[in-house]
Amino acid sequence: MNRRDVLAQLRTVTPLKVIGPGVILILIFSEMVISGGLLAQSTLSTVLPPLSILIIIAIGQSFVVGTGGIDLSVPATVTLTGVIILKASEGKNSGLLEALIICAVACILIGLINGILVEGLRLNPLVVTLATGQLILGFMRLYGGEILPASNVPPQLAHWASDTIVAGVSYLFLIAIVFTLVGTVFLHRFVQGRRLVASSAAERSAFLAGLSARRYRILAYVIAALSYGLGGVLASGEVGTPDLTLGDPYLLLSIVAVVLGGAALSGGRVSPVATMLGAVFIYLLDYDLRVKGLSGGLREMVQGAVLVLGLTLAFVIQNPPRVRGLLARLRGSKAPQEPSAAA
Amino acid sequence: MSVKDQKTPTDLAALDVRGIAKAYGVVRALEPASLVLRPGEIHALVGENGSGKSTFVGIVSGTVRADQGSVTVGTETLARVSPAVAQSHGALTVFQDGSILPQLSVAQNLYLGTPAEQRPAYRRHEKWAAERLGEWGLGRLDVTAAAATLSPGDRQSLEITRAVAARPRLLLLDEATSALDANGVDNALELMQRAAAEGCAVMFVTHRLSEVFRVAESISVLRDGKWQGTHRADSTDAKGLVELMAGTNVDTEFPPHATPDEVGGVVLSARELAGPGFGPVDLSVRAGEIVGVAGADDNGQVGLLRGLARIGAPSGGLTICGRSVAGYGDAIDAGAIYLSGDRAEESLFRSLPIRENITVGMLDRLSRWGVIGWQGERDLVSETVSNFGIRMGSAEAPPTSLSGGNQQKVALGRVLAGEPRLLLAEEPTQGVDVRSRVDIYNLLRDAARKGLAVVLVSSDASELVGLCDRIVVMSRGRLVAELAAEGASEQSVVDSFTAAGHGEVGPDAVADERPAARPGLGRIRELFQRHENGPRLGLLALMLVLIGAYAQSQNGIFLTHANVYNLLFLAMPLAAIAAAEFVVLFVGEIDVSVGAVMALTIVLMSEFVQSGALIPALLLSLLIAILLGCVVGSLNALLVEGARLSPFIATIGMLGIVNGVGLTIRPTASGVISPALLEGLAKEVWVVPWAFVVLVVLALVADWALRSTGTGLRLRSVGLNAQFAHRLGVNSRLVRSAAFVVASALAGCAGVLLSAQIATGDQTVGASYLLLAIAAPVLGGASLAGGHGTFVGCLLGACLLIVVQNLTATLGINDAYAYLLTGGLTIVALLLYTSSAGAAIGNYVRSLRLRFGNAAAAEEGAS
Repeated sequence: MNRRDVLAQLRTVTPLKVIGPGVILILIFSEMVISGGLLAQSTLSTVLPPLSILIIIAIGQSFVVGTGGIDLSVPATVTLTGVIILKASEGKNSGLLEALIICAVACILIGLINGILVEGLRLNPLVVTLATGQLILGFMRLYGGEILPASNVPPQLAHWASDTIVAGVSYLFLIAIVFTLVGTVFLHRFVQGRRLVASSAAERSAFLAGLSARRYRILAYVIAALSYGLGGVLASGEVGTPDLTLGDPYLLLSIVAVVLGGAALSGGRVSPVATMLGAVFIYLLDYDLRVKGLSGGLREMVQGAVLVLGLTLAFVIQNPPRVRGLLARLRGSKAPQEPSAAA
Repeated sequence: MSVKDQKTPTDLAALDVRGIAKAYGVVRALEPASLVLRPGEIHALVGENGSGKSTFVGIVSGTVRADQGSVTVGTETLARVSPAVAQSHGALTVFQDGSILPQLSVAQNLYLGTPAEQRPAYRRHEKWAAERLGEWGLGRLDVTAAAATLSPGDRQSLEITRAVAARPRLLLLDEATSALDANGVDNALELMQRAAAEGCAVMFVTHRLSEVFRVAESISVLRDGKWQGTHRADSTDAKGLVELMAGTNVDTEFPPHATPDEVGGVVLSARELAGPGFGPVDLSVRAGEIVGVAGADDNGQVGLLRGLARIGAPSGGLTICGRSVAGYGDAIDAGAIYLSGDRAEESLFRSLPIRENITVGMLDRLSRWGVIGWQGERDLVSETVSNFGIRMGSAEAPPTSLSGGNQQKVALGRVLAGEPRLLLAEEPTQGVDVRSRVDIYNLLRDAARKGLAVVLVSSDASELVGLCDRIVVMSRGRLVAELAAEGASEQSVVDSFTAAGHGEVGPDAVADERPAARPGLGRIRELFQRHENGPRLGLLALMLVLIGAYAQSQNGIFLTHANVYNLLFLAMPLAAIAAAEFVVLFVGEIDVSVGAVMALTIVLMSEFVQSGALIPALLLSLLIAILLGCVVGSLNALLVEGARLSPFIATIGMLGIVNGVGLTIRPTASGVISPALLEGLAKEVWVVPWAFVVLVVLALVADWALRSTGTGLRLRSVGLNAQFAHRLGVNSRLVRSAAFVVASALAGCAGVLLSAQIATGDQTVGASYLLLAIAAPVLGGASLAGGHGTFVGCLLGACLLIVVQNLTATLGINDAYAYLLTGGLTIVALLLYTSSAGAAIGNYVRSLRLRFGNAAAAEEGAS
């Protein structure tokens, strides 16, 4: 890359340049708020495991958002993996492998159904994924039966999910980092990843360029569901006793993380690193507020507000002329209005 | 008779345009242009495709915002960019791609596009429409027929007549005669003269010079966004205009044509190829040859070009490089590639760097074991950039940072990098500056010399003559002539598809050959499309009856007074929130925060309406509900319509905020609500809760208003096609913003109804309505694209969902089935009522049939 390229890259606004400073700010804020500091072993061991799970799930969501869609079947899929782990393993280590395989198959099916309904049949992604969420919950109840055979996940999974490498840094965090890096390399340097990005960014262009655009867009839903599955398995291990609310927090949180990671800004190019930073930001903010004694309600309010503000920020960065026009109008000058170009 | 005689020199200008200009990114669509039109004057604006004509018309008509300059219609300068404002000043526009809504009747379309002060009461609109059309010579149209059943020509005539009949001060026609046959053109020109005779200034945009000289007094020419001056019609001729439009080609040098020994074997051969808008066509193209497809606009050229790549599953035989081609994938494998003229949507990846744009088709060759090599990619990019002379800053910037010419070179670089055997290019130099144009001609000719076969569609006659070795001419979807490039001139090409000189023969155009009445199944389908609500509601009612009958046969308590009352009582809040969501769906938006608003209303009621008699408590609750709804709805409207954020994400954010507020007030379910109110809400009329009766009455009234009033029609037009509605002067954004506010207010009222069941402040009750609120209207026939469905359908949909959810208890089966049925019914309803789903399935079946048919034919040939 020559100097001109480097300069051009420095000048363009990328999601990373927006969320990066945000994360630094929230890290400083956390360091001040949390007693003992952010890097205390006790803090890291409470913060990192759930954060790692959120990172993985949010990266999954970003694949769908990259196609211009949205996936609201996240909570149901995450909850389902918890039930599968309990049911298939019966809480025994010997049944763990079988449970993991069933989880993977179930997630691939969910992704395929979502993808085919949305991309193959051109149905609305929001309603389809809400509806498949219901279907998942229904099948989960049929599969799980009246009473699950165990309430604890296999000890191996629980042990492994809570184990640390050094000083409070858990294996889960290592997995999340590896997941992020593998995702980034896949999307930038692998043929399949590039084609996935191209098909997500501009379906018609990709089709005319000779790519099986629709297939890649369906693949995005499958990758997303598999990520939720991985997140769900790790979450089950982390809590030890997954219940029917296991997936609930991830609907709003995953979307907030993706939006903060600049999905709306980059349109098509999903950036796992930016999404990871988005997850770090929203999770740490939530954690700090909890430390400060804010109630669950107030924290959910903050999540919603951060989502709306994040979107607005992306809009402002993307449309400087429009924003200038808006400001001019606010100041009372008679700037002509933008015509409402219809969708 | 000369039109000029009727105007006095003291007339004020009807239109005064001063220095308007527009750039899209770095592409300058229109450089500062000025024009004055007097009443009664007919003015023609001519230019090739992409010369800035439509931008000029767009600015004057209020659909495009100018970067600078001013537009004055009559005495007033347009202060805001909006078709409604332009229309209120008396400027009416007939747009190139129309603004007729096919789902509405002819009369409704006429009503919608007519200025408010000329419209009758809505109930008389059909009689009024018939009279008005009769008066202006279109009496043969059935005003009650859906506009979809009209031929394209009739649709265009209807639009022109609609505008002329409104007696505007200024009439703008943007390529308004493209779909008309000779008779239609005669009528349209006559209408223009009639309007001018009444003092209207007429400006029409066209590239058909024969029409220009028949009616225009003055003519302006645009080329590459630059104003080439205004000329009097009697002081210029067709040849002079063509030179001005094409820039006399002093600066365009074409590469030499192919010599006979450069032309090789047959690369492409099509037999009886037919698809939407074209065919059957036979065509064969040889290696090294550049074949141009000529024709007046919309005569099937682009359809044919796509058909030659088997895009859109056309019928007939197609062979590329000796391989039978059944789909675009096969065409690619055989060495073909298609280059669309729509750079923004179909040939570039706007959000990806230029580097990835160039290499996207070459990834296999650049990679080892699926990993793309850095060096190989960089080399390919720099090679393409230097070979194609792409002037750019950085390969890491998006292609939107480039000029039109360089964007097109990037696209061309991508398709030629794969060294295809056949290139199908649509308008390869549209919106491209002269210098890049010459580069592109040379690049195409160089590739052809190396054996590439090229078929291109172009509306630029000089380009066809200069670049192509052979020109095939299309009219009404068929090939009607073939010209060798040697000896052909621009005029002979234009003559081959338009009228010779100023003669009487009108240009050929696509006249729809589809008969008005289709037999059998088609007719029934048409009937269903026009009266979709009846069958949809009937189907829903039938399902309710069947499920009810089944439940009753399994368990006798189902149809008891208590159970029916109970079900309706449960359905009541769902029906109300479904109606709330429907308001948003009807205008083509979506809102996922309604359930949270409903729950927050109950939470607020548990704070503020803890006691009191029925009537004051009810009024206070409704007041709270509506106030809350207005706040949340306004915020939603601000985010979605004001800041144009995705409604999915913006309303999910609002859902979080509203839930957070509710949970802060009541972290867990607590608080009481006035017992008098709860009791009152549960009161019944026969087996029906009285509030449900009120809902039914309101739904019927609202449905009547949507179907039978002018306001309802305007709302519907926003849902059906917001862009057309905007052009017709409906303030789409205001309508949609209002829909968000009304929906949230209704959701609040639904909360009041739900409080009768919940009886305590609990924010979490909203979660289960996330899907249900959308599922009920969709079951009732609402489409997520907008413009369809009924309030009564929402009520029935809500009842069906509640019955299904309670079926598990009635039948004593696993409650899992309640989830499965809810999710399943929603998806089935989506499939039934989403027209794009049907189209997707149809396409898939057609392409399968094609593939299967071809395989069978190949087998037959082998045996």
